[in-house]
Amino acid sequence: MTKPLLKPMYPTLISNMIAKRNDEAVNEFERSFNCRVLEIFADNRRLNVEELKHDSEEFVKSLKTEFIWGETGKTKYVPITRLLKLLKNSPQSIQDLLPHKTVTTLVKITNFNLAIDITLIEELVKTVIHAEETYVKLLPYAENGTEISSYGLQDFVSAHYVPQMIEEPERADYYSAYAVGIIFFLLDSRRRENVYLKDLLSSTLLMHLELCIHAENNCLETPDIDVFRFTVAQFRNTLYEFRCLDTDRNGVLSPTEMTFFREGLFNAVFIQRVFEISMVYESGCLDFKAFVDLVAAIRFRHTMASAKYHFEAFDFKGDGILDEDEIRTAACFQAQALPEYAPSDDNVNIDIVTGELKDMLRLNKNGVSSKEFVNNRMNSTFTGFLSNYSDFLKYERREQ
Amino acid sequence: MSKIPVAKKGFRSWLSTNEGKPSKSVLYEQKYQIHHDRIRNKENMSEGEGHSSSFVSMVNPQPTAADYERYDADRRLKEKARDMRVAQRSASSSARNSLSMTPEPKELSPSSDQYFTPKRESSSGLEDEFVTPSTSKKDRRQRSSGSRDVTPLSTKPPRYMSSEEHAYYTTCLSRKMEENFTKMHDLVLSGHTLEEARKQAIAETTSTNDRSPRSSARRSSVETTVIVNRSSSQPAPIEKLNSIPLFSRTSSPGPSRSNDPPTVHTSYVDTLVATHRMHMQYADRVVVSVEKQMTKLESMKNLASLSPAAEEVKRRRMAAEALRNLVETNEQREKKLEVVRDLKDRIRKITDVQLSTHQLVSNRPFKGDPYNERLLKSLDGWTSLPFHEFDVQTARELHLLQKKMLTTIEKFKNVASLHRNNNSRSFNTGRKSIAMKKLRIFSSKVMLQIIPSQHSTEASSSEPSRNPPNQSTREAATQVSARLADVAMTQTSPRKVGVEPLDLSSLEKASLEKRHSSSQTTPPRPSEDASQQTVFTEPVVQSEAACDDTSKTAALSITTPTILDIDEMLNSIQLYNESLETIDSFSHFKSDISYPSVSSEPSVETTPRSGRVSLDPESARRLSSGLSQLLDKIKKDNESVEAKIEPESEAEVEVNTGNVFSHPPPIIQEDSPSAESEVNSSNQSPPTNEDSEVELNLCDHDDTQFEHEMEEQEEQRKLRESIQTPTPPKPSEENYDAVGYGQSYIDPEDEEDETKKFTNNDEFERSLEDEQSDSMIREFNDSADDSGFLLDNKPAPRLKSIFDNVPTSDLRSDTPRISNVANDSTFNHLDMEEYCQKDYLPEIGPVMIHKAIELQGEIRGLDWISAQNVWKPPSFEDIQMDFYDHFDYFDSYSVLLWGAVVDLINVNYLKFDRKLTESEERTFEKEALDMLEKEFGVESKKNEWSKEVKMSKKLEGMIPYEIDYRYDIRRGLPETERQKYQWQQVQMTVIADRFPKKKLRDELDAVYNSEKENLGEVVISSELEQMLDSPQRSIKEKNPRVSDV
Repeated sequence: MTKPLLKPMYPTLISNMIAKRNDEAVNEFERSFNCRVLEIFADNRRLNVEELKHDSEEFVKSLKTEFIWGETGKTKYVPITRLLKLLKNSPQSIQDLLPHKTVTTLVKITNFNLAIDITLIEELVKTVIHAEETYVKLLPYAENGTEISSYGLQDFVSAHYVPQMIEEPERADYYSAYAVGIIFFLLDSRRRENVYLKDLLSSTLLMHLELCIHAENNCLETPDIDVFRFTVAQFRNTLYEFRCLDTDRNGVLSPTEMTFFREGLFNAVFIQRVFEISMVYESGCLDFKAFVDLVAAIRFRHTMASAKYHFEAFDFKGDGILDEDEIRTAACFQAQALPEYAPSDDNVNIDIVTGELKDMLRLNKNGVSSKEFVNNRMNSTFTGFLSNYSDFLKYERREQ
Repeated sequence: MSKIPVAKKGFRSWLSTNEGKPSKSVLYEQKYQIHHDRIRNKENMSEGEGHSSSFVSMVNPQPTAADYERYDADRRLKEKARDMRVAQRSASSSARNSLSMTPEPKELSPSSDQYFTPKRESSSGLEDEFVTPSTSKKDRRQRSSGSRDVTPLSTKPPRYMSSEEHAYYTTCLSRKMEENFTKMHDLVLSGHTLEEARKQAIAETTSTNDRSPRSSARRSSVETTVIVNRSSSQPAPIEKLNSIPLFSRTSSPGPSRSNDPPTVHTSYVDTLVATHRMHMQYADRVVVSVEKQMTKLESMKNLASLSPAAEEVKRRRMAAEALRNLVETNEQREKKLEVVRDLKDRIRKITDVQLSTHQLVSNRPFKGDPYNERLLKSLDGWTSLPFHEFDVQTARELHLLQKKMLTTIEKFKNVASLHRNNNSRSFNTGRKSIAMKKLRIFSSKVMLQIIPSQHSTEASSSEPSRNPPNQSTREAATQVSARLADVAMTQTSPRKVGVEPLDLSSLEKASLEKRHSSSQTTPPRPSEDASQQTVFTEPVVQSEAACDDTSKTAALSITTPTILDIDEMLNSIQLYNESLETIDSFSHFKSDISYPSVSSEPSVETTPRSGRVSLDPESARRLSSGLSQLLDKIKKDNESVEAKIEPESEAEVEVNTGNVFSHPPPIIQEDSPSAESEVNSSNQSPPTNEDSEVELNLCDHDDTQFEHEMEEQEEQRKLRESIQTPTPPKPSEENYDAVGYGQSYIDPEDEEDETKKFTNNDEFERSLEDEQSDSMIREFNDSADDSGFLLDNKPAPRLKSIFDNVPTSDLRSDTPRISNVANDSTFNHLDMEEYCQKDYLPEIGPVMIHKAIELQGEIRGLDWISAQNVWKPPSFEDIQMDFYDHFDYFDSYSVLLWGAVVDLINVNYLKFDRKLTESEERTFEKEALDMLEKEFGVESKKNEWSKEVKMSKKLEGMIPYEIDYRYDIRRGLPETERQKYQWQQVQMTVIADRFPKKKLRDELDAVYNSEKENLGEVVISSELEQMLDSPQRSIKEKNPRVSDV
């Protein structure tokens, strides 16, 4: 494959930028041609963005002349009729910005006399412009116009975001791997090499990343999106945790080292399965990326990606079906894993627990498939119950 | 926990091996240990001792099993020894009796001695070898001292002694400390620095210490070192302690080690004492600093007090302050008093009204409102409250009182009207007022036929009834019924107020009879017959009097002194009645007490619905009629050919013009009971001027004749209004009612309530009568007295019959609805949102869908913006009206609806460039209707908001913000939170829409292809050139050019 070879040579150049990916055996001429095509494409995009910026500025300006005051006199609203008039005179790009669907949603959000809060439109315009700009920025790192590899994204992060930080992370490469790991995990592309730019952009994860950096730079409170933990501090914590576990300092975590993960509160069999479902080294060790995956799975347990992760972990047979046996096994291990200080009245009856868990998943004879599991709203409770003791206890004592 | 290293062989051997070695302290943690060692070394060095002393902790370790074993071995020995000793003692038959012997073994029993605490054996040589190491030396000393002075103290068991010693030590210590401190204090005050003072004090102390005879006397012969006699029962020399650097001391106040080298083994007590001393010293030091601060402050104060100027200034300031306070309080007090007076006034008013109500309703003495009385009493005290507090209190009370006033008046209104209305029937059933009494009395003589006037009664009874808040009337009704039952049995004593100087005793009996006779039956109404010798003071008089707060009390006890005045009174009846009707006494009253009058419209603004757009009745009416017109048109458009429209509209116009007022659609007339059906009926409503304009704007085929007719109609309407509404407040009501169906769009719930009201109370009858009454009386309609209809037992006539009897024009000019307008403020206004969702959508939805199908060719591929050009949904956009903003809602709604329909048909049905098949049309129709109902209908608010935003599948799975997790919690989220999530989703969707893979790929492909073409052109042209120039070089040049590109 040409890409890995090329990357160190031309770090800023793009290797395979053509839409088709079946061009691994391209010669120099084709490659340069592709380069050119993509450059032109990016240029076009850039021009479009500039144009959009200008247009939207005009639009927002005119919007601000056509408003009605809200009840309190603080909020400005634009009624649909006036918006329509404005849009009729606006260029197509602006019209595309506000399709009917969006307008309806905005109206619903505003919830005031079928008008739209002007700030919403402003924010929307900002968001779109930001996304467009990011897209243009991403293009040089992207495989082609539509997807980007994890390595490309890592390069992007370290090239664009790390320099923005006042307090740079200890290891920029680790940081970018951390951030990209979380992004890929949340986009449900944990094992995939590429992620679609569309998904990446629309997930607004990069925006959150920027927000986190901004917040940290200015010592602001992290926005309540801190679920996406991209801040250096959070990265540092994770790295610290990783290093603490890595007692032999070889940079990877062996199963033995992982037994001390989070004070051993995690189900042993779950941890064991983590090694099996992650990309491990030959010695069967987790590296930092896989560790980030695990941490993200625990942290974002309510996401679909995490549900999938856990499903894989508990699907001991690996047949894509979670059945009663597997649940029972996991519950057994969980019961064993109870720390010694656990009060005696917490002795778990495996049958009862298994039954409860089955109910939770509405398990029938055939077990649940991954899809069903992901769609089940109780899955986060289920996984928490089985994977670690603290959540187990939380659930057990929910009524106390 | 670290344990004392105990050798296997027992304590003795341990002692022998460890003697002189520094032992590890269990008292200190590691960090203290270093520090401790350093200090110890320093001390030792200062004393010329190279070797640190052994150290035993105060805290005893937890004994292990092994310890116990070893200790048991010791104990066995000890017991053996004890037995021996006992044997010795008993043998020697000393002074001890048998009693004293028994406790001793107990004391020695190891079971009670769990901490290895030093066991003091009685002073006999035998026990020496059994004592624990920590005590051994001490024992030796004790023994020696005991042998020297044979005080009972020394012979006592050591446990008690130690405590005494302890006490002694402490007192001694503290005394010493005190001395030291005072010395230091003096020195410091006299100008020495703290360090100097301390040193000096220490020096003195040591000298005194040395000189102390007691200490020297106490000094044991064994331990010869004078100063460092630590194991003696006397405090360690202060100098030792003080010589320790201050900082270290304060940082760790408890180095309790003995700094006494000769005594290698310190006793438990010793360590205790040492520790205690340290504590004391530490505390003292703290005290010193505090004291210092205080003295400093004091001296400063003294200094300040010495300067007279400052004093003067202060005094002056104080005086000014006091003066200002006084003035302020005076002002405040005045204000407060004012407020209090106001409050009292209000209370009094309320009480008056209550009293009058009470008198009308009950025959028991009026007790008054206990709360009010209490308040009245406490009010005076309030002036002493702080201003703010007072403000709060009074404001609250004011509020309460206002509310109370409202209810009271309401009650009174009800009761009064009830009373008045009812006086014909239950005339003698015990009216409590004096006037009624009189009336009764005279009615016993003459059959009363006093009816002020048919009209006026009717008017007065029906008018107020328009204002009945449901609750209050019900209240009144119950009150009345209770009262009636009550009255029938207990018509006994005349009321206190009633038995006024009147000479009525002769009539009493008759009146009683009359009462009995008339209580069951409803006598004919008292007519206003001048010939009748009856005094008929209507309760109205009282009610009015009660309202008039100045003359209220007087009026309540209105009496006619003599029968001679009867005529006068009789004459005045009409007057009273009239005055009641003419002056809207209640509103007058209300304005007097300044609470928002019920009928005033501004209260609408404070309704919770204020956030929504609502229309005032006039515009609502216009809108609805215009809309119905429009819809009608559209329907016709859809149904018929263009040609057909003309005659039809003409016909309609004709109908409207020919019978503008006498031919309103029948449904409209029956509007109140069938509120729901009016939506449809409104289609046929006569359009107003503006509406015709709308029509003109929207429908091109409108003809001028129609417009003309409309104008005429409008003029007529205006004319009629101007005639019928002479007073300024009326027009709105009149207008409103003139096209009563305009109201029909108002919240159906309200409508229902209303209809209930109507069916319960024969509102219609009264309104009917109202119509018959002359317009003079109608002018008095504002009287708030409203509950008169309650006791009207006649069954409500069928509505139909009413309308049959009444000329429609009259009816329309004044429908019963008027009355409720005042009551229900929201009722007044058309809520656009509700109207659009409930009424407009079902109407226009199908129309739009059909339009979309019809115009599918034109709207193909259009978005919501350009689709407006193809077909314009109904709007008021082009009309210049005062209520532009109000109609904005309607227009926006239409635009959105149309946009949604166009979107839907474009996305799902117009993909292929062909016309829709019939089945497709049908499915589209169904789907579109569903969609409209869901997205824009009444249901739209109830939809789970998170699902409103459709996300791409991938993003749905990503579930940012734990959305799915909090599925249940989300419902309870406040609106702003929801909006945040929603906003998040909007962002995601919009971006996702902007970067679809296909679009990007297409874009890229386009660039690719165009570049390819470019390249091809370049290559070919270059090739051609080269071929023309020199065919040989052509191949060479090809590549560089390309790379150039």
